[in-house]
Amino acid sequence: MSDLRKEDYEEKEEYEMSILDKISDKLIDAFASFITLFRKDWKRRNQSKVQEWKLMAYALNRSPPALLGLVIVIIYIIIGIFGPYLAPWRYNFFPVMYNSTAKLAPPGSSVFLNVTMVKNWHVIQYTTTVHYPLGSDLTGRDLLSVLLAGARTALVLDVFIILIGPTIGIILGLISGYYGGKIDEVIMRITDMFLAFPGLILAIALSAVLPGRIQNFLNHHHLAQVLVLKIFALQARDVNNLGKLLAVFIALIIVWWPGYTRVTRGSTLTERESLYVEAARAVGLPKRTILFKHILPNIIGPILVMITMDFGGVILTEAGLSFLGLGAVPPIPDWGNLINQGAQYFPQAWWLVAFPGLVIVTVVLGWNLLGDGLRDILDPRTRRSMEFKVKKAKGGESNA
Amino acid sequence: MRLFPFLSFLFLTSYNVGGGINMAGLGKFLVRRAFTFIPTLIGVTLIVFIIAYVIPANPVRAWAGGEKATQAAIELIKKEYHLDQPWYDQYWFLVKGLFTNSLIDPLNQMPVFTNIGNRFVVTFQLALFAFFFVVLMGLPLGIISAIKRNSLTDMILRILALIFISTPIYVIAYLFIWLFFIHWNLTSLAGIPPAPKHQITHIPVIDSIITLNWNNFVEQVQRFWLPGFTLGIAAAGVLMRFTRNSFLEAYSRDSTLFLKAKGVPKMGIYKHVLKNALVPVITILALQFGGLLAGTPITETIFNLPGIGLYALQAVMYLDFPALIGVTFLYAIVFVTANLIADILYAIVDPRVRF
Repeated sequence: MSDLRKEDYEEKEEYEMSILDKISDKLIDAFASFITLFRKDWKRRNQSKVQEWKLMAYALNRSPPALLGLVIVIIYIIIGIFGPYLAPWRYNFFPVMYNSTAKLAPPGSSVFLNVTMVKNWHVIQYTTTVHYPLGSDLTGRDLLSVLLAGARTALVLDVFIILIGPTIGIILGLISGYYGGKIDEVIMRITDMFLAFPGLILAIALSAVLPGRIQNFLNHHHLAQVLVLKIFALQARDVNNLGKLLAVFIALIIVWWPGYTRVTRGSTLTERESLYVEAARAVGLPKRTILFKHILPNIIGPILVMITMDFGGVILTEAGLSFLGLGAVPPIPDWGNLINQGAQYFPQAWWLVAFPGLVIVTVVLGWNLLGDGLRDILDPRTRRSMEFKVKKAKGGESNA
Repeated sequence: MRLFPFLSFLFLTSYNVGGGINMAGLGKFLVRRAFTFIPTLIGVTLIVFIIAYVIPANPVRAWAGGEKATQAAIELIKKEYHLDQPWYDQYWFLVKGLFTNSLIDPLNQMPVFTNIGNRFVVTFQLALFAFFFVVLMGLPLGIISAIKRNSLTDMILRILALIFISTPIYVIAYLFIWLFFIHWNLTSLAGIPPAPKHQITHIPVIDSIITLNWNNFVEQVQRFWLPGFTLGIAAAGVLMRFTRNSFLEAYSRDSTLFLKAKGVPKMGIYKHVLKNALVPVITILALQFGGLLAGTPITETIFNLPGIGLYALQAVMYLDFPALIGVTFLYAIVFVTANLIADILYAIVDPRVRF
């Protein structure tokens, strides 16, 4: 008996609350208060939920790889939003037009330009010096600027693909798993058809055949054109290259949904039989509420991990497609495309492969580290053990 | 062998086979699986057809020789590919072409699957080399990581696996080319070594081993080891993580506690755990081989290997849609077959699975 208790004590290490814990507590409290502004009494009614969030944050704070991932991801998102405006040079300013030595200039070099251009029917002449901290590409563009602008392309594709693809997959999976019968059969057969293709191959085939149709659509819908240009932070003259860019977007959505349908259906099937769903049905709640308010929150954990990892996966696949010359075409800033340019001049122009490659690896690693950490954090068992381990700074009472 | 006694187990994969499998049950299982195979196959042809149908610009002009093509030639090609017919006729033409190999590649006037057959050998050999590296790296590192769980070694190995997964082929390939080709000159990157004289399996590297053609074997390895290694890196990372989880899952079973109580030494316990842990790993290996076969386009482009991945990309470039359709269809078949083999392997290896 005494042995057992000793083991109990050995496992029970206690942590002091660190600064990070306090920061995360404050952030979560602020967020809860923010929601309370719109929904009356939200914070008090959802006390236990807020408490769970805090415990999740404690678990995150105690896992350095996940924290590292989170930091990388936040930096990626910030650069993705502000990158095009932070870039010292516009992505479609081609110094090689004014000085041929700007082509593939090595990192650290700078090039003197004597620019002559026509603007508003006036000939403008000026001289300027371009510094290349990370070298230049084939058209003499500053690699750093293109990388910063390319972050926007990557982020927009990433976020929209993940917003649309998995959502379709999850909804279809919920419906398929909950209703069963013929609906299930039809949805799952269609899913199987799409799962039969390897993702990369289907994406290649689709992004090869789609651009024409999309370009055609964009040319007839001016508003859509402007919207897409604004979202990607592109200049109006790139309008004819949008077809290829959006083809990748649609191709990857088509590739990305079936996996989620299968996973969601599996967990919905087991959850459908549980008591709380039975109770919700007995009360007479509409099916929509049961599906999205009762079943979905209970199966979302593994799906959330999958989504986080797939943020990285989308970046990899998208850059891979543009490496093959299928996605964004040269004036559009894109990481995969830079590697494609550098590949033709490897190893002389090593920086065109090395720096975009490093950026891609870092961002994808960030998402993967975060996803790997989330797997533990979202596990309720971790939270329960956290509950007793984290000590409030003042006294011996563990928070509950 | 004394150093890693637990590794000796890797070479005995057929440990459970025959332990009470019901052959009749397996037969029934196969028949049932085949029936679900058919709708998937029809669906695959449908999707392939839609892909072909979406083609916007008429590629016929390009096939007929660009701007200078005469109207008569264009009409002839349109007729040959049934492009002037309604969609159901086009679909029927396509399906018939896929199953009877009468779909002609407009670029070299050969049946598409004849072209693919010539190139598939290269892709298969590439996937074989990649698979070798995947097993060589993934399994031992995953097992070491599980045995030393929650230690520094484990943490380093886990992060290494994540880096493997996060590094795209098109980045790591150039790093390796710089290291192994330009710096140390350990590989050759030009051409394709000829197949050995006596062909038995038609896979050059296996043939050269069987016929003991040492020179040819060295040539094949020199050309293929680096592309294979590059292709296998990501899959090795996945396998490492999978093996680790599977090992830990098997380790946390009650049987381990019993072995501990019995006083079995650590190595003995690991041997028992490994037996249970490798059951799911074997099935994932079949899936991974399918994934490697499908993941070749980028590797083949970088290393200039004339396989089906490169064929697909060339088809995209030249608007050669019969070829693209053929390759896509073949990939789907390969992938579905890999899934099927994984299911069957699982059923054979794990005696608890009921057919």
